[in-house]
Amino acid sequence: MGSPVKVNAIVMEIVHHTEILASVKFKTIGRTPRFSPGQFLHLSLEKYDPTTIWPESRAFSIQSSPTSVGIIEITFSVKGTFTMKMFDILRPGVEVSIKLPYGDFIINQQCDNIVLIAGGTGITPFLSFILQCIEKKYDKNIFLYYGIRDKSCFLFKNILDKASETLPNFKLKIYSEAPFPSAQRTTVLDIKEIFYEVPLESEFYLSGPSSMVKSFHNWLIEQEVSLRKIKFDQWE
Amino acid sequence: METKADIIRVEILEKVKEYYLEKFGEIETFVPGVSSIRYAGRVFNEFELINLVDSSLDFWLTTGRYSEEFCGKLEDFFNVSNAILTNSGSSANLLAISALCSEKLYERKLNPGDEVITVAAGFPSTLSPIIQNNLLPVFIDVELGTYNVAVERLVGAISKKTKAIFLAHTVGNPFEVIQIQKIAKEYDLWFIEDNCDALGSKYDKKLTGTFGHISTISFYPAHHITTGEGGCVITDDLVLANIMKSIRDWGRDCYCDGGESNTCGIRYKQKLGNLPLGYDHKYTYSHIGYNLKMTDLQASIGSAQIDKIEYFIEKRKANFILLKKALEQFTDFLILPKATPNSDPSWFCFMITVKENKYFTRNELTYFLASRKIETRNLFAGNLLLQPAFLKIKHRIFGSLENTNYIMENSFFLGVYPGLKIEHIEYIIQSFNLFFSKKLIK
Repeated sequence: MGSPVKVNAIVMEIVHHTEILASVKFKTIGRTPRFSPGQFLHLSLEKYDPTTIWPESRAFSIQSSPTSVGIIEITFSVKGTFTMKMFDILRPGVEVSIKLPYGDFIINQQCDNIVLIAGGTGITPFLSFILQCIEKKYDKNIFLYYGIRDKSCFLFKNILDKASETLPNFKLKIYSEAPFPSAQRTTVLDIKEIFYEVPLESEFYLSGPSSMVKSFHNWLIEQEVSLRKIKFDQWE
Repeated sequence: METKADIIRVEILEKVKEYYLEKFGEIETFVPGVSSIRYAGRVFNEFELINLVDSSLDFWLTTGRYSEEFCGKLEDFFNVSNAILTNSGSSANLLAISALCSEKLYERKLNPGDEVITVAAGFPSTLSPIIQNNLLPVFIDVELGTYNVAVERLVGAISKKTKAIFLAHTVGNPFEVIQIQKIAKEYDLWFIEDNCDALGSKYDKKLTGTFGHISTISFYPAHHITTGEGGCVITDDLVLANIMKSIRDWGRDCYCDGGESNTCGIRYKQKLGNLPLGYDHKYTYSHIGYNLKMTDLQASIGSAQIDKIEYFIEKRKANFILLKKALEQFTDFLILPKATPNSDPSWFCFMITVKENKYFTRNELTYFLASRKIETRNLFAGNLLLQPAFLKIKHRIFGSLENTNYIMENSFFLGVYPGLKIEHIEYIIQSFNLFFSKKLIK
């Protein structure tokens, strides 16, 4: 949650999950500010000259734990020329520029019932939170609803398994449009179903495609859920 | 690749160092009675000048790389998440109080008429933001010697309308901040530390400025480090940080730094309140704000100054100790400053209160010192309620302001800033000895 800082970073590792989906781990060079789970960074493929304006960049949720000092991880899918270039050129040793942290999509850790609803790569800001919870042995109720298209999009199984094993009150429900064993529901995410499944005094965190976030947000408002209890992180 | 501009820059900065040594490098000879002994002043070396010129060569001007660097150093020094630079310590105070009135705090926001507990013995910019935000100041008296509030008195002053506590660590001496933090928690009050005079002070081995919901710092030249004009707010609360950034930056909702835009990625895609769908977020205003930003030129100086903070703190403490040891012989007539128990002050100055006596007054002593070119200052405004600007303000006083009034008539301070050398301190001590020998013989 520190003041934003612009730093250079080196790619440590890149995992290509599918032909359009990859996770990248960076090591920052220089002082990296503290961030909170849910915050995001900007990544530029150009080297940043601090005496000039910040180069072209895109925003990505930070998925690594806030405690992993100097190590930053993101996941991205190819959606345009910038992310296509990322997919093509990011390899171990490549230097990039990042600036962080930004955003106020911060999970209220005092809340007794935290409902996380993630569509696709929208799960990444929640991973940062879950990793932190694992480290802190967090014991409040966390309900994670994770919607994916099919098995190939089911990422981060190891982290989610660890959360299920370690966190006494972590409940995971996977919605997949195509059936596969880990998915409890073979359908798209259903906000109505989720709403009636979780305790009344829950706080809702929505992350994913803009259309999903907007419709879920509006539906929750219609149910008279206080605006303060709904936070969202939407990306085009 | 090094460009011609890079090469010229290096040459310029080398020349700046040369200039510094030529212009400021020589230690001034102290001539007793002729050379002024200031109560405060800027202390710097070539690094401040190099940074300043380097920043000017960027010609970035507004928040830039040096602001980022300075913020980072402050955040590391305090071990906090957010250091938000401002154009003065007074602006930092204004931001802190204004933030507490934000609608974004929902039912926790301060409303007109809500009470804020503070003191009258201090600097006006602790009080002014309370009035400017239509809140009601509640004054409590301070103790002589520490010049801070007594905790029991503070508890007594709390009413149903009390919503915040806003206190300064007077002249660097920490108030009982842990106890007051507990009270704030118990009564669900906002707690702001005015840390402007106390950069580097500690209470229970922890830096002051890290106990309250918000704290403020001043970088005016009289303070521990300087940026000329300048200040900072410190907070670990992201909501408060975002509110303060908004109010600092014209009240805008967007958090992009100067020269940047669309950091959020949804600049033209939101529907906010009654604004048209997609209205430019950079020109969306969620607060009635100000423009209180620090320039990158100022931050470049601050970034070099903060590197010297440990030396500055130690030098201030050392000067303080020398004065205290030497003046202890006069405690029949003077109340000397005393550190709050469990504290380790980074002293702003050396406060003295003249006890009631038949030999001399405060003014006689300070005039005598002035005649020997030794600067003194009163405890800022004395009793603020007696100052013309504050005569008609709405307020409440809990108990009496007996000590505050006594301070106004009888207290003053000497400098302890790092620019004072042993010969300055010795001359001050000699001057006290001379004054007392003259007065007491008469």
